[in-house]
Parts: sequence; C-alpha cells; structure tokens
Amino acid sequence: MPGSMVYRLPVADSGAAHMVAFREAMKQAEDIPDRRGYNHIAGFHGAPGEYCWHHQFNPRTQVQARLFLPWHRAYLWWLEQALQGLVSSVALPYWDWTEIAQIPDAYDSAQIDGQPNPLVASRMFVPTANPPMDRLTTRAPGTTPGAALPTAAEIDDLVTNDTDWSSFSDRLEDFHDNVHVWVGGDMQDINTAAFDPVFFAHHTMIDRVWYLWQVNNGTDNFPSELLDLPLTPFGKTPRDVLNVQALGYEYAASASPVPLEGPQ
Amino acid sequence: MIEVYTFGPISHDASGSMSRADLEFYGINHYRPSYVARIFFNDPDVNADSAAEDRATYAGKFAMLGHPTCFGGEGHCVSDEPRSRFDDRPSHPLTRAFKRVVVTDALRRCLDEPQLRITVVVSSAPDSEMPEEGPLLDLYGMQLTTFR
Repeated sequence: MPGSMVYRLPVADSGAAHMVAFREAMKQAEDIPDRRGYNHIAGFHGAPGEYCWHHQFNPRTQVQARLFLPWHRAYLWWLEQALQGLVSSVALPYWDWTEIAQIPDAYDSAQIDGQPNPLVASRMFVPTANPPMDRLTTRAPGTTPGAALPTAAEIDDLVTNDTDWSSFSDRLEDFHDNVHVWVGGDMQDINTAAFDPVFFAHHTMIDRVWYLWQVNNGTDNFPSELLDLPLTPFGKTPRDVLNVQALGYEYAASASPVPLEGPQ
Repeated sequence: MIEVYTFGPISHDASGSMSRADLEFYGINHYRPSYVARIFFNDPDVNADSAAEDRATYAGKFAMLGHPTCFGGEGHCVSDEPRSRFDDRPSHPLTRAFKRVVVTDALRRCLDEPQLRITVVVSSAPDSEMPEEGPLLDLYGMQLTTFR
C-alpha cells in the first residue's frame, strides 16, 4: 500500500512480482529528464554532483569521517522514494553476490518479454562534463586480474566477528570496492558507476550487510562525533539513517502476499 | 596493467598470542584506474603470472575503486588546494584513502621468520589507462599492526 514500509528482497528472475514492479519503475525513471529521473539521481554520486562519500574527511571533526555506509544508505533511500513516486510500494532489490556470482540475469538480459530491459544499462547524459557524456553504460565482468566477488564465508566472518565500527566499515567498503572492480566498465569509475543500474542492486546488498551487522551490534554502535554531520545532498545525517525502519524499509528473503479471499 | 612492488624487509614483533594482524596502507592515491592489490609475504618469486590466492604465501588483498578519468576543467582533480579556516565543506573527492587488510593467518605462518618482505601485485583492467604519470600503487606508507 502507498506509504507503507517495504521489504527489500533479493534480486530474482525477471518474472518475479517485485522485479516486474522495480523494472517498471526504473523504465519510467530512466525516461524522465528532470530532477525526478534516474539520470539526475545517478549524477549525485560522481559526475556531475560528486557528492559520494568514500575517503574524505570532514573539518567539523577530528575523527576519521567514515560516512561511506550512512551516505550510501541515504542515497538508496532517495532513489527508492523517487521510484515509489512512480510505482507505489516498489522497493530496491539486493544483489547477493555471495549466492549469484555473476551479473544477475535480471540485469543482464537485453530484452524481457520483447521489451528493452532498463536494468542492463542507462544512458548517461552529463552535458557539463568535459568532454560531455552522452552514451549507454557498459560492463566488463571478471576481466580485471585478481578481482573476485565476496564469498558467504567472508561476509559471515565480517558480520559475526568484527564488532568494531571502524574495522567493520573499512572492510565492508573494501568488499564493496572488489565488486565494483569485478563488474568492470563504468562500475570501475567512481564518476560513472551510479549510472549503471546494477550499482544500486550492489549497494543495496552492502546496505543489507550493514543492517545484518546492526542486528548483531545495535543501531547505536556508531561514533558519536559523526552522528550529526550532513549527508549532502539528502538533508539527512547519520543519526537519521541508523534505523532502517525510520527510512521505510526492512530486509527479507521473501514476501508472499496472502489473499484475503479463498477456499473456506 | 599489472605492476609488482616489494617492500622491506622489516622486523616484526608479532607473537603467537596475537588475535589479529592488519596490514595498513596510508595515503593511497586513487586518481588511478580501479585495481586489485594482492599481497604476499616472503615470496621473492611471485609475479604477475603466479599471483594467486591459493599460493602458500598469499596474505590478503584490497581493491581500490578509482577515479580513472577527469571529467572537469583545469584544476578539477588537484586535491591539495589550501583551504580557508572557514571552509568546513567535506574534503576533495580525491582525498587519499586508507585501507586495511587482515593478514592474521599469513603472519602466523611467518612467526619463525624475523624478517618480512611484502610483495604487492597490483592489477587493473587490461585496457585501463593512467590519468597522470606515476606508479599504479602510489601511497604515503604502510604499517603492520598486531592486536591481542
């Protein structure tokens, strides 16, 4: 129902109900050229906005500003809200690369049911870039020597055994970097990565791993010095994004609506 | 593009009582193509062809999501501009990075070897290009840290 909390579910076959809804929302978003559209929102990360948080420091605190996870959580929330404005109750799916060790079919098939698949690529349009960008995104999975997708054992160890925020954040960001390098193409360039729709499936998985860690270690396991720093341009702070329920979503493995009418 | 770097030898003070060992990389320049850095301990023979995670001397790896191109005007990718004391905006996107690699198991295998040489095999996509002159792995320093 519109306005209800949503469950983010794993990336599934293209025919799964939540993938159909997500694909429809993305198709519409990619066709919108203004601030509501995918191109505009993708441009927050690298070109042209350059708001993404990876290794920067913030002069307001001496503490290393590990804002990689909260900034990207706010980013996902922003896109999800925009998509829900197009298709109510749609949620971002997560690509669990520990189970699907390849580009998921739903993001790799050029066409689905005879229609172009909006999850294969998007058109980057950044006329202010030097030189201007106006092309479809590309990938080259598995072509960088040494690049590999994280394994279930690695993520289980991280979530279960690393209770220190800074270590957890650093290590999860590195697993994240590995996936970017493995996917290749535009995903290997911080300036263009978010224009590839698989970026958000990947980052939703990263956010889910943080969520799973929070289940074990609490939502308050976060440096107090960083709680009120701005997460530009989203109008939120880390304090605002620690509890995913406050952002309107949770993570689940599956969700099957039960009809109210049926055999008695 | 693959480059191989060897650092050390260093004397380490690790003991069997450590619970964890981290190899820390400071001040990494990521105005570079994205790459993977695979790390080996005391293995002078490892090279671009033999660097594999199942090699006995493998210690760990890190990946770097890079800025392989500049999309701005002149000065856009210069990250060391002086800042006003009133400027509390976030630092430049090319602020140098920190990485840590958990190397506990690999260091345990080297406890009987007082000297440690660290070889790092750095590989980027075959068609990658450097946006500026310099080594692929450009950093300010490394540190081996153990914890009890």
